Amino acid sequence: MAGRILAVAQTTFRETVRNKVLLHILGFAGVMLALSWIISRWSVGEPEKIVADIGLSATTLAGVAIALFSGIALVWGEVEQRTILPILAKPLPRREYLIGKFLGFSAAVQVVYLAMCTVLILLLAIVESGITHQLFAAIYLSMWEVEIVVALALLFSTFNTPTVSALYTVILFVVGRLSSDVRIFVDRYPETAAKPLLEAVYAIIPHLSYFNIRRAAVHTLPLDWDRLLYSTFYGALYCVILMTIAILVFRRRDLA
Amino acid sequence: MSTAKSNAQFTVNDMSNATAIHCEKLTKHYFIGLKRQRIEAVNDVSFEVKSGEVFAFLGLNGAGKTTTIKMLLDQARPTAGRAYLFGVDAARPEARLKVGFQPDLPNFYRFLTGYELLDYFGRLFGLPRPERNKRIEVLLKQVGLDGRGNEPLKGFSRGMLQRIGLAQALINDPQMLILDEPLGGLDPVGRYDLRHIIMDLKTQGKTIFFSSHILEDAERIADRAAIIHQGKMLACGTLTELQAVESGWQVEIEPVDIQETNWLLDSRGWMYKTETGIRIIDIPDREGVNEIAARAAAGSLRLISITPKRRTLEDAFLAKVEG
Repeated sequence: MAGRILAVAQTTFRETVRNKVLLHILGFAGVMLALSWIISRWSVGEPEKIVADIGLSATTLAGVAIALFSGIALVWGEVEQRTILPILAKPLPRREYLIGKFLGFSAAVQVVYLAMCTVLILLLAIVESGITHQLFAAIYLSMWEVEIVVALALLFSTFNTPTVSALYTVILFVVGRLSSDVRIFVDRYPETAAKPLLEAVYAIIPHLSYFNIRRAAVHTLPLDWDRLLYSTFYGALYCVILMTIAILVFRRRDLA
Repeated sequence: MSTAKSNAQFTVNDMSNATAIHCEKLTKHYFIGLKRQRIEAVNDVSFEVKSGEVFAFLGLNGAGKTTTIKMLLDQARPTAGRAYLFGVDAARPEARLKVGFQPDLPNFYRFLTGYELLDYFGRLFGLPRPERNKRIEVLLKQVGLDGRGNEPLKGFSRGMLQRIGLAQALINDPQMLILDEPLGGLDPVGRYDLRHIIMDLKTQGKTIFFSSHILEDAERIADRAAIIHQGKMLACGTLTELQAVESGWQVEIEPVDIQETNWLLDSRGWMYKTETGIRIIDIPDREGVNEIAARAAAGSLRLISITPKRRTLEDAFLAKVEG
């Protein structure tokens, strides 16, 4: 089983890193990082905070964009282009195929994301000593945020066209980023019949605000280690749930 | 990890090794659109393919051939009925351990080279690296792509993709090959080569199940065939059985009593031609043949030969499809 999953994962990794979309998004991230450095030169005081702030935003956004644009066609594209037919004609259970796809795609996205973060860290080293353990924690949690987008895109790609998958993923990403505001809204909502429904919606949406500690990284605020641990657990569990749903959906699907 | 080890997790019921494919009332209905309109792609199809035979699955485009193949490979779930490959339920992945498959209009990852593609598929069967390397070399040679394994697939022509498709289907040295329209995209040389590869595989004891609408090729290589039309199985049998169905006889006679012979032929309305005194007659039914035999026994004519008139597979196919 592990051998087959690894074979699918390695091929998916190769597919992702050879995708031209990746180059465009990397170009965008490079421009943003360069801009953050230029702006920091022109601003008054604490240039490392500007580089860290813009840099962290740019790298996370680029990671999410790669996960989104490459992930939404990951399974759908294979079915449409019929490349999946000879693969699933092998003694490869569909769950292993999906797990392999997820692992390979995640690995590719995270490697690219970490490469962008390495550039950011080098920039911070050039600007001034803005490299703190809070910065590394912020990068680590952003990796989980990207991972959830990977799982969302993969789930939707098992049954939706890339356009619809992109729409759903973006909506959930935006709502997920605002999840702390959604919590406040639900708490303040009057005790009516709609409140349990809102609670359910809050429970379902990805709580991506758990993974945003950019403020702590930029202003070197003390780290909440419990939050780090809880966010890690939440991210892993959310990905497992999304992948389980993807497997259940894809298991019954006819390949056109 | 050896193949045997990697496959050990599967418990394969080998009771039915003599039957490569067994389909029981296989049915597939699709429901499309908002009104859930029902499309009956395959209806109540049952047939068996024996180990070691070349079996042609014939039908027009849209007849249900590809849908049936998809159900055999668990790529479409039957609405009703079941299929077994070598005695194993086709819905289980282990049913495909001994099977190689080439899809219609094969499309593969364009970012891989031919070698990388075959290596990937070899890994899905759990073949160890040395065995994969050996097999890939042999297969590239066998399908006529020797020396082109390191070229990216995006540069391959349709014929070359068809060839690499056949190579990937053979990567596990399967007992059975399932080929969906394998001859469709090939030029005459490619078709000739593929027919020879198929015949070569047959001599190695492999079972070949292929779908086609090119009857000429089926006629040349198949032992048995099934005809499917609008999702329903119309006929299944050996080519001889399919072709020889009540299409008449050609009888050669030499008249002894010319007047009586002429009267007989004219009164029965049989078509005939005369060549150097011999009458070559088309007789549509068995009774006519019996009558000729009786006259020969009575001495009014000399019987030279009776030959059943075989239809071409195309005749048989059209007769079935057109009802």
